[in-house]
Amino acid sequence: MTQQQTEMVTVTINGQQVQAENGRLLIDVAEEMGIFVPRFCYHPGMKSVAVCRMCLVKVEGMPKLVPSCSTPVADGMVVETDTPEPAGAQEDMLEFLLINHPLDCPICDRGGECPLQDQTYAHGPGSSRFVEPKRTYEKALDISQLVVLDRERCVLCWRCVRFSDEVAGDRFIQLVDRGSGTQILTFSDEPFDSYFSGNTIQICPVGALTASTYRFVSRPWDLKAAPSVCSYCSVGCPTTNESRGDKLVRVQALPNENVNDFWICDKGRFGFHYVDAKDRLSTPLVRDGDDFRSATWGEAVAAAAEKLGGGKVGVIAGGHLTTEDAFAIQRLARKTIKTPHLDARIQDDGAAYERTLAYSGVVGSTATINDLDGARSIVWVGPDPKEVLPVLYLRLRKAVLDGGAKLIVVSPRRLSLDAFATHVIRCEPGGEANALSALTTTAPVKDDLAAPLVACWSPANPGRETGADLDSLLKVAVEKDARWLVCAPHAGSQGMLDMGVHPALESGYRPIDEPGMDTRAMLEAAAAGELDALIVVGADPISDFPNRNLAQAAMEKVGFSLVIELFPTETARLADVVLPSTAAPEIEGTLTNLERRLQKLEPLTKSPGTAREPWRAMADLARAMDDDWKWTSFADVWAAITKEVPTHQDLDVAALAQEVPPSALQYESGTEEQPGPRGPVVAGPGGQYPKGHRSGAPFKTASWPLSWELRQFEAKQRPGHIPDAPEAPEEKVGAGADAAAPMSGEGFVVYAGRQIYDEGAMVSRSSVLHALSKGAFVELNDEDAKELDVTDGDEVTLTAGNNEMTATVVIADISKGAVFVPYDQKGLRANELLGAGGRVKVAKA
Amino acid sequence: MALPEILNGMKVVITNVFKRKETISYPEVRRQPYPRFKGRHILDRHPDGLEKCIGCELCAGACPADAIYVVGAENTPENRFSPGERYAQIYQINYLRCIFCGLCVEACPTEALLMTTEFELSGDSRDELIYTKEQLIVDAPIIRHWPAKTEYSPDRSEKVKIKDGGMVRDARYPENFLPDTRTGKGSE
Ligand code: SF4
Ligand code: SF4
Ligand code: SF4
Ligand code: SF4
Ligand code: FES
Repeated sequence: MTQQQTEMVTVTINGQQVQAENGRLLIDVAEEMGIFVPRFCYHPGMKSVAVCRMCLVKVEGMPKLVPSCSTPVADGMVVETDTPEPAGAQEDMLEFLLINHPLDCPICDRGGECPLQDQTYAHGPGSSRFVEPKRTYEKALDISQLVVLDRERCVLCWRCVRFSDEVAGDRFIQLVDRGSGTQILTFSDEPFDSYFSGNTIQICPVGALTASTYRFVSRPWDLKAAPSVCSYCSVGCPTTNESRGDKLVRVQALPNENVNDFWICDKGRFGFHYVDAKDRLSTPLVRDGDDFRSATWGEAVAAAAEKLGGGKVGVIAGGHLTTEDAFAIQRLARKTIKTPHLDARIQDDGAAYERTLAYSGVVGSTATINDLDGARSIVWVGPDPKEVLPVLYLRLRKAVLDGGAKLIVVSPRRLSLDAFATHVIRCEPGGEANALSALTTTAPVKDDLAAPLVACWSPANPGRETGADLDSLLKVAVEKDARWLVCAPHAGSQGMLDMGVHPALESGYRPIDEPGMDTRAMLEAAAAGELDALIVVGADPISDFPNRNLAQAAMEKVGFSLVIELFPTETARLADVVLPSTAAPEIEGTLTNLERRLQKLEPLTKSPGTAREPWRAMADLARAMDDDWKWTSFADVWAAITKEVPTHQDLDVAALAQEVPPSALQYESGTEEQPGPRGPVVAGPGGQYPKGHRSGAPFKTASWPLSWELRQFEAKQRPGHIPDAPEAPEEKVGAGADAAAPMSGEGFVVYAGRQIYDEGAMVSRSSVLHALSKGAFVELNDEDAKELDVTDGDEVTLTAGNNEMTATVVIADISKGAVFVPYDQKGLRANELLGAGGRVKVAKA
Repeated sequence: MALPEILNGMKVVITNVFKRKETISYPEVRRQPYPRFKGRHILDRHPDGLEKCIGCELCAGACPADAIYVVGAENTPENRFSPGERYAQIYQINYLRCIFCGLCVEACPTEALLMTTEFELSGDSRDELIYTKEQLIVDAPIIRHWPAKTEYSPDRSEKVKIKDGGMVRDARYPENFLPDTRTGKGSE
């Protein structure tokens, strides 16, 4: 991006002179000076509409009061926000708002952290002159599984409407009627189908929109909060976890303009109930015939350590683990057990992230998410980001619609991005590489491939990843002098690559001369009885690996298996020793997101029973194998990481520690420490408020220190490392390379992809979300559908090998000869179809 | 010699022997506390039997001793505990913590929480002194007495004197506060 020189102007607000960038909004400039102007409709994440009229201020020379949320500053402006004239207007606005407000704060979930309450305290009249009956509506309406609407409380600020329209792009809520009859409603004839609806709850300045999962659960003063990071996908949205007692009750977005702006997806917000699922493992289990018996931690570790000492051992790790776990896993494998066979790619089996190494010296992204905003063009190759990396979808949408970037999408099927893409290129599954190679030479696409360009890739071909598409994309990127976002799908995937849980890479992206086996090769070896022991940490290959039978056979045939898991998954049920693991809200740890930003998780709740972090399990195993790492705390692990991982050696992990600032949940009103214009808002009997009262000071998104970028360290180590004539890596690393199904043959090519809500171990244990999963469907091209004589909504049977499944037909824009099936849905196990050769016969049921 | 001091001391003893005794032999003899003595709490009901408490947690929020624990839940048509949407699924007061300040009673928006004059709160275990909703809630609504007071008419132009026993109405629950001649002594 080019640095634009902004003109500075001088404004006077409440007698204080200040320099501000020309054109900035008065409300923001005042806020930065510590002068808080009350507001309802203004939200820094959306465009101003100035409908609530709460932020009226007096500007010298203007005939009337002006709304500060839509007035840009100009040179010489003299503004008053708290003199009798604007203060009186603010008071009157509040009196108007309260005319029809039901004032049912005692039963309202927003009570105690409500901007309307706070601002009425600070700026409102002490009493109301309105004695007539209020307008009433039917109380709580469930407008979706997740959101409850109370129209009486709405102050008509349009925030939710603007969010759904401007930010999410899936209009699901609207203001209808006029005058005092104006009310907020959803469209009755359309399903409420949004992956981002929870954000409206967080931005609604009153309790009109509340969360069904948080209904009457708690009060803000009961809550303990800790900053954390969502562990569902690799966007890594910062969140605040909040607990009442020791029970996690709410997750909210923690704004960070570098990552998630102000938003998180509904999976991140409502998908936390897995932490206290009934079947959560709380004690180690040791096989006892066909069953398990509970054991002490020491007993289970000793039993496992005994079997891991010699022979051929493989290690498979999952995508939701922390950086520390990743480091411990590779240390146990490489240093203690001395095995080269370890991998963390399961669903994305074969994804050749390491191909970026030749071009940039790092495995993974060179761009940041923020680079999207300044891009002229963006290329997307991969799965549907709305399903897989939801908040990245919002950022892509913003980059295109607000930033004016040209979006080029290469995909075998219609993605949600197509709606605002400039060019959409359809290819057959696995044909992305060829399509990409043609990009730079084909008009009109080539004219829109202009720097600054961000090339985005994420693995999208489970079961047939070859890395060829990433290669082609990187060639395009290098040719166009672009940066890239190479997105490993899960929250912990990038950390696994950084820490060297990879058969061909040591930590710090150091290639190994003699690579070990990758996931597929390990499973094949195990199934053939050639593997003596298998350690599976936080992964469920039987459900997730794109060949279910192979994973099942491997778990059955392997000499010994140790599984570290949260739940008794299908894989864990076949293990010899099972150790209980911890969930993200319970631990101190770090996660590295898709742009290689390291973010800290702070612990909040306790893990059940004797469950421990996987890194502790690794350290205990090592100790039992006479290799005492002497790790007892998070800091010890980091002491080892900074010593052993070259990319992380200068990292000061203590600097990432952060408390939830009182302002993080709200960006309204004032606090005792930083009062609004008329003194502290918080008040209460005996002065004991605020007892954890967190309706805070104006929130600033800039310079949020919760994260740290690896980039700054690489810059030091590999100055400008982009080789002139990059050589494409020849062969796919690791054994068992070729899983690619031939494009010709009988039946349809299976193209599978994850959906936001699936049968995954975590999300399926959050009942509200599980109910929203789409179930078994299959996308067919309309020509193919005609040939099969089926239409939308018909049932078809999919047959592959011995597997037969039924699914509902969805006619979609997908390359001919291919079918799209969701990866892991009830009644439709794509990994069985993929395992049986990657082709299916489709017939009308 | 110490004799004068001893005699002086005995004088205090002897004069007190003939004074009227302040101590009573509790528990055989009990003294009636003053009507506004702040003792153990009760949760009131509406005349139709529904609970007044709506589980709002304002009492818990106001409590300086952190003695109250409330967990709200939603009424359903089949399972209705209180008017409106919300009721207290769990309501506990920990009398090991309570300092009988009455701030909770002041905070209660529905006048569900009241204090009685009962002060005999002791027990053999800590658990016993955490009173649950079942212990706190009354079986039948309490009839209360409202003292005389002066109110303003709606347009604030004139003062209206409400005599002792005058009807004070809550707009939403009209039968709520009935005139009564008893004093505000709680449930007994
Ligand atoms: S529902 Fe909330 S966010 Fe939406 S318009 Fe009403 S007050 Fe604003
Ligand atoms: S986008 Fe990803 S990281 Fe962000 S909240 Fe959703 S699942 Fe979590
Ligand atoms: S009387 Fe005071 S200390 Fe006791 S519960 Fe009520 S508020 Fe708490
Ligand atoms: S007793 Fe009163 S203040 Fe306490 S929860 Fe019930 S209604 Fe609310
Ligand atoms: S008019 Fe400015 S905040 Fe609503």
